[in-house]
Amino acid sequence: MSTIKTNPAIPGNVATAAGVNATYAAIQTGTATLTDINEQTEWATFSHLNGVTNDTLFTTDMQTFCNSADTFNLTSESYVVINLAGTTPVAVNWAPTLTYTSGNELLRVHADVNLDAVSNSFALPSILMADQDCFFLQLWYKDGANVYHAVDCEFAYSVTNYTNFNPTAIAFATQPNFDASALLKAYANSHPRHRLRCSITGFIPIVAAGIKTVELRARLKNNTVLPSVRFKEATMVATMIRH
Amino acid sequence: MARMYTKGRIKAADIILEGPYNDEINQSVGELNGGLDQNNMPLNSVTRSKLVPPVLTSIAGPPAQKSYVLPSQDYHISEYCDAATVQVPVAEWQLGWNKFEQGAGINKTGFVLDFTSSEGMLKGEACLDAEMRQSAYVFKYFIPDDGWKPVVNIKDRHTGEIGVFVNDVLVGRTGPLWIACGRHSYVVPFSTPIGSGPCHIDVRWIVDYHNEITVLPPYSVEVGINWDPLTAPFQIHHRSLWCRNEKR
Repeated sequence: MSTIKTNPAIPGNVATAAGVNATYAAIQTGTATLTDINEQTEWATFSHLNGVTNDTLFTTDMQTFCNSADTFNLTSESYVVINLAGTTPVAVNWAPTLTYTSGNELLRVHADVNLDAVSNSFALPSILMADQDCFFLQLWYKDGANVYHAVDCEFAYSVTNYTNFNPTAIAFATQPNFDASALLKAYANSHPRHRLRCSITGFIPIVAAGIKTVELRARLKNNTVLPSVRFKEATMVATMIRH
Repeated sequence: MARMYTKGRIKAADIILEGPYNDEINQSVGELNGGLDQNNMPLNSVTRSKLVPPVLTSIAGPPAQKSYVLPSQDYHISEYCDAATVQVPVAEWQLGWNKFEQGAGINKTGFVLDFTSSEGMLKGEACLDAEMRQSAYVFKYFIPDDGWKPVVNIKDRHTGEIGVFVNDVLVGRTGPLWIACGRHSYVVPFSTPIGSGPCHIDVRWIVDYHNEITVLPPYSVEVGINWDPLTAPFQIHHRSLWCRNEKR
């Protein structure tokens, strides 16, 4: 409703039953349909939140994952879940299925994992093609119909800083076609990444079928150049943004 | 409003004047007409259905942005997930903070947020998948007394930082990193109080250039900045910038 109208008594006039009753009726009708126009701003305090449901009002449906003991050896060039010890996927799960109650709600997900070790047998080519010494991380979710989907961006990490120029035929004035790759590779091979913390964030807007699982996946670009990397110490958290 | 009480009593057999009648009614109705506050509202009564549902506003851009406006908080997100690479050639490196929003067109997406903030806090992250590798062509160096010699050691030793600026104030930074480490995904969290009004957030980077070549000792040289195209460029892949505006 909007505001409640009254029929004030007029000085010198005898108040009528109709006028007074109209005011009372307006109050009766109006108070049953109060809206935000009848309220002051910012009136709600935490004590006004429903005592039973206030945990679900703002920070809702939070799920977490943490494992610091087990490892996973990644060898695949296609995305696979980081499955610690082969038994513990880095994932958060909902049962029953997490549902969206409004079309513009948002699931926020963070995942972190350590690069624990790099394969000793990685072998850089003299001319490095794009991302051959990289691994990629991406969040994936399983919807209520058990179909997997990728979330947003994938994020990459290289295990060396070997040049992406072609260093095999550098034109010197007195030494044309100098092949610098061996020297550069020697440096890059002797300085691989160690114990690198990798973080990834994703947002999942409405999924009509709801969400059962969000998991952290990884892939290698080229498992000939970089045969494997080992992950350890993973954490993950997901929270529904409803209000 | 506060709780209300009648101003006076009307005694039996008295004639009521217009003044007392109007005062009593106007006081009560006046409060109902916009004065209701926390003292009038029942405790433990607000449930999810009482809250306004979220509203999504999308800006095509560039830079593209999505804003989720909710009762207690707003989320503003800009991300670009295409695999296409943006290169910042060495010739365009500047001393001091380099603004990613200087990029053309879609290159701005993922680096800029513009919105009207509500008084409270801003908390968020800049996520940036970036790449800088060894500079191969520095092998061109010539040692005057000794002619051309094989390089025995080379390092792109320059450090760099990623920073997040809210209304041109630095609120989050990585600290100096070995930025020529290869490809790496950086996450820069930030948190700052914010007032009500226009808010502009952008991501910048800075480089402390230090490229050293050590040839057969004791010879060594340093390569200057902006030696394009001999120094590896700074490359940008996927990126996202998001912030949560917690309303007080």
